[in-house]
Amino acid sequence: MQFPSLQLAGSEFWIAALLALGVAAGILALVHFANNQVKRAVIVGCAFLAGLFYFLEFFIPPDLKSEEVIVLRWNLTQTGSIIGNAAQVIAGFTFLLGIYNLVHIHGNIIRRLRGGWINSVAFFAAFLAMVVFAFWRDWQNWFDPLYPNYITPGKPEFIDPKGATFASQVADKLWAPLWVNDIVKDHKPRQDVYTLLFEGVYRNMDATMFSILAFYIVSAAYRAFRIRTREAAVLMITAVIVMLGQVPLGQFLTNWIPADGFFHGLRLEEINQFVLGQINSPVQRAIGFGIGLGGLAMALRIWLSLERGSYFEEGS
Amino acid sequence: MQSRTGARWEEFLGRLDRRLVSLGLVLFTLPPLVGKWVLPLTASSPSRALQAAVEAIPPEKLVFISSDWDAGTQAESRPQLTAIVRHLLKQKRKFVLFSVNSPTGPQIAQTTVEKAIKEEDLTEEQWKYGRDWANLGYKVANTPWIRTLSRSIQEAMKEDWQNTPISELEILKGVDRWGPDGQVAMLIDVTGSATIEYWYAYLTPTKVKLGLACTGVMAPEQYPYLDSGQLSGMLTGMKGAAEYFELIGAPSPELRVTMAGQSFAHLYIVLLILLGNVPIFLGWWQRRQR
Repeated sequence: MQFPSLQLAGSEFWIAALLALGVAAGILALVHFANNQVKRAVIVGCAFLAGLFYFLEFFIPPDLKSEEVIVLRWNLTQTGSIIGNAAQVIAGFTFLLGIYNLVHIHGNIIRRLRGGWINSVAFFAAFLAMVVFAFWRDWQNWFDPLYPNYITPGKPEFIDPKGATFASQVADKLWAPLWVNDIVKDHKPRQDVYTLLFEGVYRNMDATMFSILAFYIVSAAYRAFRIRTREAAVLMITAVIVMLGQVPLGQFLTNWIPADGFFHGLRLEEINQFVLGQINSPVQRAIGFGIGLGGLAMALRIWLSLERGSYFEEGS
Repeated sequence: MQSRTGARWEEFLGRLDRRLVSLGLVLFTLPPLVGKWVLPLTASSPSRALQAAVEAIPPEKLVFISSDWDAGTQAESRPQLTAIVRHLLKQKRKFVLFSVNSPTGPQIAQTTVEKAIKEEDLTEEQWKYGRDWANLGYKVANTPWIRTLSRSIQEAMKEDWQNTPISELEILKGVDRWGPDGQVAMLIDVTGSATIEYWYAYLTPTKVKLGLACTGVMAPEQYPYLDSGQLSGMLTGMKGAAEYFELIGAPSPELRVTMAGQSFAHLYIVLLILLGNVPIFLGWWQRRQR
């Protein structure tokens, strides 16, 4: 069984999209109004079939010529690609769910004027600013097929920033002013509001948030790391070797030992590599095996719906 | 039992204002940064291995870079990406960027690559977007999609980060398979999270070479994969980036100075750990005296 490749355009595309939405809404409504036993059966069935598909696709040897897995004339490899693309679309919806969640939580905080409500106002201001200026800047790129020609040198429709009619062409052809969508290629970074918000505000704030970790680490260093046992002493010595061996200071401290001499193994960076490669590596491998076995057991429990979750407990 | 001196010391540490400790970190790291100190740097074997793996790529094959970092880890990930891209530019190897972890990653990677092209004294026409490199943007990493990607790049990647269909990107024409029999010889994951696990699981069977540039804290977990050969080479944090710049013959004095700052931050943490253990050392010493 081969799936035909569908390339829909224009009204056909919109009819197909509406039809798909209608079918999805119908299925959701059926599941929503069904009783718990039916819901459970649907969830268990879907989980099992999805798991079975990938189980078969992974374990059945592929056809030697096409390298595709075919069972009873059903091409599992091609179906897997379709499921992969569908999963991308479904994953896209989770962004909407995340936005709904944030708006719901922060909206409630502002409505009830709970402590810290001003932070929720900041969230809405930042969210709206990013959304408005990102969409305003890019929507012509999404919907105007001529837009790539406007910004590509050499094309007849190219809007030349050095041309005498630049300003009037921008006003006539572009859907956003230059301060919203800066198309001048020489401007790096682009001089528009979105770039200011992304490069100037978001990126620096994100980096600042992460760098605050350094201060927590130094604070924890003298409070938490106490050598009360021999094992803790071994751990501390190892940590000191790795911490110093991972930075040039470690090399500086033992730089007096010749790198090609008999004692080169005593240089801090060499000891560090020994610790990481010969001591850490087997331990990580052992942990990996443990995690792998645990993951396999967990996967089986989820596939066969043996895992107890809040929904199943509630249903039973 | 703890000695009186030890107890006093414990009390002192307990009362120590956390802000003073933080200020200490700033003061400790400032001299190397302001004085532009440079400390010796020797390239580690994982960095050398990555350089060798990149140089062994056949000229007609592509390199994919999974740029899975954002501003949070930019101190480590940005110089790593810059170093790798500059090496690829020096080697005239075409490359394609994408991201499976960070929605903001492609934009940050775009500016980083544009800057690297400029640093290599190449114009936009000499190393042209679409012909010599491309940015396929952010893709949501879920297992079904990654399985599709491992089988067929054309099936999984539809557009670049600006919605240009990949059929219009010259660099990706006929590019569909990974590994020695395909068109992509290597994938390098520049990451601030555990995205490399996807590539171990789904790209290893294609025999494509895997390279990794990760943050310092992630590196110890990856050593088993270096041993097994699943990983061709690795850059560890900022140090890995600084080493790589040296290896490719484009030393970065700024990064060397930053490394000196990081060195002193590590030293400060070691001193704080020792400081916190003074009561225990005192207790041992007094017990031995008795």
